[in-house]
Amino acid sequence: MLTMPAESDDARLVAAARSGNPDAFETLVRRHGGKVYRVALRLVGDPTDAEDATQDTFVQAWRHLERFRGDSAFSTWLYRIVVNRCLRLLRDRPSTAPLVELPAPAIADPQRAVEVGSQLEAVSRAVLALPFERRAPLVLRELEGCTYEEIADALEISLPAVKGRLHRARRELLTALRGWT
Amino acid sequence: MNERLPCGADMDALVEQVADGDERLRSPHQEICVHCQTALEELARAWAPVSALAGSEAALPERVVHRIMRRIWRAAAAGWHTVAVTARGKTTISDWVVGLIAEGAAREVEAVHLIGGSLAHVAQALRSRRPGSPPPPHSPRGLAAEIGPQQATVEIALTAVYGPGLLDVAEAVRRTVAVRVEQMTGLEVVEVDVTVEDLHVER
Repeated sequence: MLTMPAESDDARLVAAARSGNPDAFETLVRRHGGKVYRVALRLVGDPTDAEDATQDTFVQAWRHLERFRGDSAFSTWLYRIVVNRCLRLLRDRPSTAPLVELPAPAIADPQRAVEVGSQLEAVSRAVLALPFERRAPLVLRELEGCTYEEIADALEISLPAVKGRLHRARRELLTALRGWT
Repeated sequence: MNERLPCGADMDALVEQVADGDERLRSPHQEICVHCQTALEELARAWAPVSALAGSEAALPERVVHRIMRRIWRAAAAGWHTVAVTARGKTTISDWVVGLIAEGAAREVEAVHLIGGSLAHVAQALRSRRPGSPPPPHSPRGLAAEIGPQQATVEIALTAVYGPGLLDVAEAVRRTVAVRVEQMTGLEVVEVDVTVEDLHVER
């Protein structure tokens, strides 16, 4: 079977969706939904809020598909939307306490699984404790593996700003993590 | 802030090296420097949970995909309704917009946690009036707003929070949706069907 590079395939699906084909859009939702949801989860903490932000991200993407010009990857465009949704959500609901829920890691040894589980929870909390402007680049870089250019594009900031914020976020995160070990 | 090791190495640079996953790509100095090696190992240990978190896959729950697609189908099939005609022009509102107003209104109700909606229902209702058009492929659940000449009926699906009586929640949603839709569009809301499809339990 012929496999297409994901990006050109995305462009084809976006074009189909833009002409009013929700099925094409559903393929995009299934392909990129996990990424968007993970970013939202790391940015807002609460799984229900993250679901909410993910829903809104895709609905907004659908409504503004004509604004997607294709000079960045579709996933980068989605990151831009979801980061903004999360920022708004946190501003609207400042009182919501972050609630971290993580999928159980696939580790056979139960003792070790508990250890790793609490470690993951600890690092999630440390990420959530970062100020939003540094949390966003950190999540995109360390958890989603975006390039600096993609982060600059998604956050609409300059490359030096990405590097500066990311560096500070890494130091802050390491300080927090070293405090626990 | 610019912490330095006894050998003069910049701690910040080591942080970057570890975070970029390059702690094993050591410089000639690092190959022989015990300070750098100790620091790199310690940083790598501290950083390990971050890499572990990156590897822990949180998938988008299927029900969220369904909620998204319900809303997309609703948007794709939204009909247009002229709600006012004056000498200076007419005002037309999409039932997608009425749906958004209903969503916003329902979110105002404290016990409502999440809205799941779709115009699929309306699409079906509208399309069934047009002979020859195929039925929408998605199940008609969720939120729909159907506007008659001067009246609207709204269907809304939502997730409530654990605790309050669900009949009271539905009644509050009904009231708020009716008030907001009437305020914003002038349409009379004759019916609001509320479906409580999920419950959010705080841990």
